[in-house]
Amino acid sequence: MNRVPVITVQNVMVRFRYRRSLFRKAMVEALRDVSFNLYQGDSLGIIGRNGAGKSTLLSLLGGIILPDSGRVINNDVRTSLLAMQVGFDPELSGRANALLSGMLLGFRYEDVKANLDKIIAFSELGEFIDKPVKTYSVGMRGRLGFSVALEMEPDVILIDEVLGVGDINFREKSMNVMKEKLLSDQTIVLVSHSGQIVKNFCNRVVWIEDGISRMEGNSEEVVDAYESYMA
Amino acid sequence: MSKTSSFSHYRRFVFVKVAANLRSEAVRNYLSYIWWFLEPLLHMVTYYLVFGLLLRRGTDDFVVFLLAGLIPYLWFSRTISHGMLSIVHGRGLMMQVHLPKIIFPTIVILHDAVKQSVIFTILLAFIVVYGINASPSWLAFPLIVLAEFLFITACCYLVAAIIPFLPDFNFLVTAGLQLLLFCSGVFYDIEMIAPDHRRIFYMNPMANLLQNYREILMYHNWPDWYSMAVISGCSILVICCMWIIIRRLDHIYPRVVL
Repeated sequence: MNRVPVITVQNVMVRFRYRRSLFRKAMVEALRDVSFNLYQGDSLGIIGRNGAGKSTLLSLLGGIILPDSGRVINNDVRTSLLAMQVGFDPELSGRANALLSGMLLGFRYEDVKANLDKIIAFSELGEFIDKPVKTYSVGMRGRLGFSVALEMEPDVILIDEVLGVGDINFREKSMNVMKEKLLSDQTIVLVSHSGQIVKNFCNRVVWIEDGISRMEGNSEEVVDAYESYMA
Repeated sequence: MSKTSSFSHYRRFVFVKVAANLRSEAVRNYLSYIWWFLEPLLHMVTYYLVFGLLLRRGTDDFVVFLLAGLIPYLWFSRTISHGMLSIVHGRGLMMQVHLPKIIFPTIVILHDAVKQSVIFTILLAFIVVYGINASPSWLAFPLIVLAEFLFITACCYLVAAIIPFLPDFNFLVTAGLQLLLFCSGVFYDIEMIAPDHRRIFYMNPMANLLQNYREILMYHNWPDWYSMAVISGCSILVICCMWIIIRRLDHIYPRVVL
């Protein structure tokens, strides 16, 4: 496997300022000092308890926000954050949403259009695909988002605890596709607080505690350390 | 598969999105696209019934006078009120993937411009039916529409860029639109203003635009080229500045709209 990092995170710090009133501002440090490498073909797990800064880290990897200090070096890869129920325009049909999402992942209109049938087939939405997304159930929205991300294959897929999407059949199917992706060259970052999920899907894991990357290594090792720490 | 993140790609995205929005808006009603014509037509007929037949107010041409001012004004106020929260409402999308945030107000501006083109067509037809003949000065109509489009775009970018940082500004914009409605001569003729105050009145670009719409559509005069050029030039300048500023804030907006 090629060991060139696609994204390097170096001593990253992120703090959010928020207004409490006209002149009073407060600050929250979401990440304090996080460093790790993401390699081509990796399936990297990010583990940590709620509020440890995992979701902020995903926004950083996606290039959505920039760190207040430290660096995130992206070696020209296209990332897509797969978080459920956001990003869709509820008034538009599933088909239009799939097309627009594909374009936002950086693919040409024609390419997305050519893949639309595959996306629709994978999502199992049937005739619902032409109905507005606001009529979808949570599970259906998740299926659509998941299908776009999997069929269009961005360089890096960032996943925020969505393995519980859809019903049992769809979950099983996406699990299988995910496992396939893991064996292939698809690069995935998966955020979770569950050691079990991360152990199943990831070859490497970074453990974030209190905004600091505590440990980075192969999944067995890190998850065991995390679980004994939490116990 | 080839990938691109260039300007032309996002331009394509904007067009696809505008088309999808227009379509989804239309198919929500049984008569779908017919409402694009029917709604402004009903609007104009209402004004005709009230001011043209019922009240017989002011000059003979009062209905045309009113509509030639009201319809361009409503385009402005509609786009601003739709566009001012566009970046804030884009939060779902911008938390998922990085994209230039200027896209959000641009989609709203184009969406409303497409619908406005239908409304303007109906306005022109209405004026002809009302008995005012088309004249060569009507040729300047697209240029004034263009000047107003640039002005709307500049204002929309400006408020859309500010409101994520200052949500309270929202109320000021709404109040400002109300004020502008009464300060731009939608309901009255500029002749009614004291001559000393006219200069100040014309400093308001909206008043200037409305006056020029009336000059070419009703009085068969050519527009005031100088003020049209100033409005267009300043608008283009603001648009360029906002383009740069919003681009610089592209990574900041996802943090403030949370």
